[in-house]
Amino acid sequence: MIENWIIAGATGGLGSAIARELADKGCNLTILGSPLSKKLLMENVRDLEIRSGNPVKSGIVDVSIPGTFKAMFDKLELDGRPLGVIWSIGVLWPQGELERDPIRASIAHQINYTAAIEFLELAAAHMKASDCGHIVALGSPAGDRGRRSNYLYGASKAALHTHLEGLRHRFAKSAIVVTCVKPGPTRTPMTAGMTQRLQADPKLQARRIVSGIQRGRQVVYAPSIWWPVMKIVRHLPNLIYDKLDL
Amino acid sequence: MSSWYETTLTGWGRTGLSTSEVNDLHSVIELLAMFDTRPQVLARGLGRSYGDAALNTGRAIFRTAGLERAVEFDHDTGHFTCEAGLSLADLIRIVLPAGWFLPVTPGTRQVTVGGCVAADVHGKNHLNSGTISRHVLWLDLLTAGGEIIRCSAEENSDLFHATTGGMGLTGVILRVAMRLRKAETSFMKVNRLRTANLAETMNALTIADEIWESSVAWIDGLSYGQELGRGEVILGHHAKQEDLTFKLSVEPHRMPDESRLSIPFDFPLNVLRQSWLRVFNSHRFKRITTGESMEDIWQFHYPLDALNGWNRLYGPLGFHQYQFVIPDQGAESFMGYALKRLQNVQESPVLVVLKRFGAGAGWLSFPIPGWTMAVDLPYSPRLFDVLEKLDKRVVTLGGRVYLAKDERVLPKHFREMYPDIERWLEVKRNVDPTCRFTSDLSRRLLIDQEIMGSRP
Repeated sequence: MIENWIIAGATGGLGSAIARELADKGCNLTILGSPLSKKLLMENVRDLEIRSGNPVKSGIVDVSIPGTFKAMFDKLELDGRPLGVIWSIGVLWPQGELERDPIRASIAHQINYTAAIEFLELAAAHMKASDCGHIVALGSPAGDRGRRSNYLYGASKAALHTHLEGLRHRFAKSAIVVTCVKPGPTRTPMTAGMTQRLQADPKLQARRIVSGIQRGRQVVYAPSIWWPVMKIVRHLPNLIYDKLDL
Repeated sequence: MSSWYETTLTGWGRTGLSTSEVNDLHSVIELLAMFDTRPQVLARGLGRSYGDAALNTGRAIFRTAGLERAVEFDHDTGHFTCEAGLSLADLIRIVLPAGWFLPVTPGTRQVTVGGCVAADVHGKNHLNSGTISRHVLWLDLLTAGGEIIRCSAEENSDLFHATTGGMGLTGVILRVAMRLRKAETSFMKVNRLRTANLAETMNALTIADEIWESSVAWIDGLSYGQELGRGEVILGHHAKQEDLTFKLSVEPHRMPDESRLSIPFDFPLNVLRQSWLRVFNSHRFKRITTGESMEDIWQFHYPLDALNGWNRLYGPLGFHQYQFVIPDQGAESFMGYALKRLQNVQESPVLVVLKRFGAGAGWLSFPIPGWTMAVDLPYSPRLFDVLEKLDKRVVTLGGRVYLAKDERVLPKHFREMYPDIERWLEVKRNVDPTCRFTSDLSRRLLIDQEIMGSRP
């Protein structure tokens, strides 16, 4: 498995759980966080250094500013060692709120997808030079089919899925692996206040995701039960689908 | 930022549902921001307290399992500092590859460091190493006033002794620094003996404690007559590099994967029936392989962690673990009496563990020199009456019941069991006069009433 990882969004939720899982495996990490979480980012750096036994680099990125990732990729010194990147920045704001305030919905898209374009493309450009690497992004089962309860969130994730699909197609003949992770509901700050019953433990989720990454899978549902579930949901005829309360 | 939501929780014994407002914390900063939003709170880690120690019905609970950052780790001295929500399982994953292990560990690794300190847990090596608080260098405590106070055996020592074993009632433990013990390998050199009755079991433990670092006895709870108290004495100490066979020495700090086996749902009835247990116990007893062997740390310290969610096997009524300690004087006859008494309760006892204790520690810490027995008992209506009668005897003998496993001891018995309670209350009055930190346990034991009542 690749040993150098850049994780965008490693100050909370799944991102930091994945970072810890990779650190436990002794990887070299660079973690990126928002300006608001500067202190937390430093605490996580220390934690990951102790877990991995390697120095951990960090960077502040502001996803509302275009070009925020450029400096970080320019500075990158890997001496030809392969690089892996993980996109785990995202917000899940309540659908009702976004319906009432479409501007807020477009801000959510800016964070969930628009900002990712730059990150993914810069990573791709970087990897193209060495012709190897691993691109990972956290999508969502919500992006598999639009549902009335969360299509504004789902749409941003669907865009991300398609982007990754395209990258995979583009690099199909090279040693660059592209993995789209689709975690089901997970107990993280993102889902705080939502129904608890079906939420998975972030640590277990991170373990599933990292093992999927390690195997170089193209799509990772976590837990894997979401694969058959979404397969069915995606193939339901509209006639039936529209009558369901999902 | 995290938010409050209402949910139902139970103790590990699952004897009753408790509804409270819960906040899943991810950082200390978050805790400081949320602390003043609720008047009465309690910190809860991974919820392995059997009874009501980690419940706060109708009030607020901070779940601390997200405060799990390592803060400092010195590979040379073995000094380790972390946030209090770090689980022992994760702690071991961090320190064992570097050749260090917990100085004291309870029988499960699915507990938080903060929880261990708050219950001042003991391990199979209590006689040699005492409780966890003996190895704590310092801890940071968030007190009722919103202040963070660092305390240790030297600095703010009153608060330290009240907090170790204080069941989270003096404040929220934020960070803990402790001294780890060296572990050359991740294996234990283990010796198992078969014992024919209670006297033999206790005798073997007494003799072996002089030689072996860790010791514990499993007892066939359903044995009777001449064989009452028969069982298996399990002794062990950390294996050195040279103890390992060539095959094991290739990877001396091997870490097994976390167990994937789990009970996926709540059983609709208690499946641990006496009739089956009788078969299981006698089978286990006959199959004890005596003599020395090499086991990994997990097999030795955490056999029950191999099956996640095993508490669900007990069905909807749940179970209770009765753990008491009594001084050496009269221990043997009382252990025999207690066993016989509990055998008369419906479908009991499921699991019995016996162990010898050394010196005590914090003011509300459980261990005192003597013998301790832990008994898993399926809940039945008559159970608590029987246990109350046993409590009376435990009190007369100068013993006590473990608060981390309790949900039913009467306030008057509690006061007799823990004579240092007055000193503890004094500290509590000083740091938390309005009982901002409260739990179902503290209210049941009338601790809150005592504190609030003493104010005009």
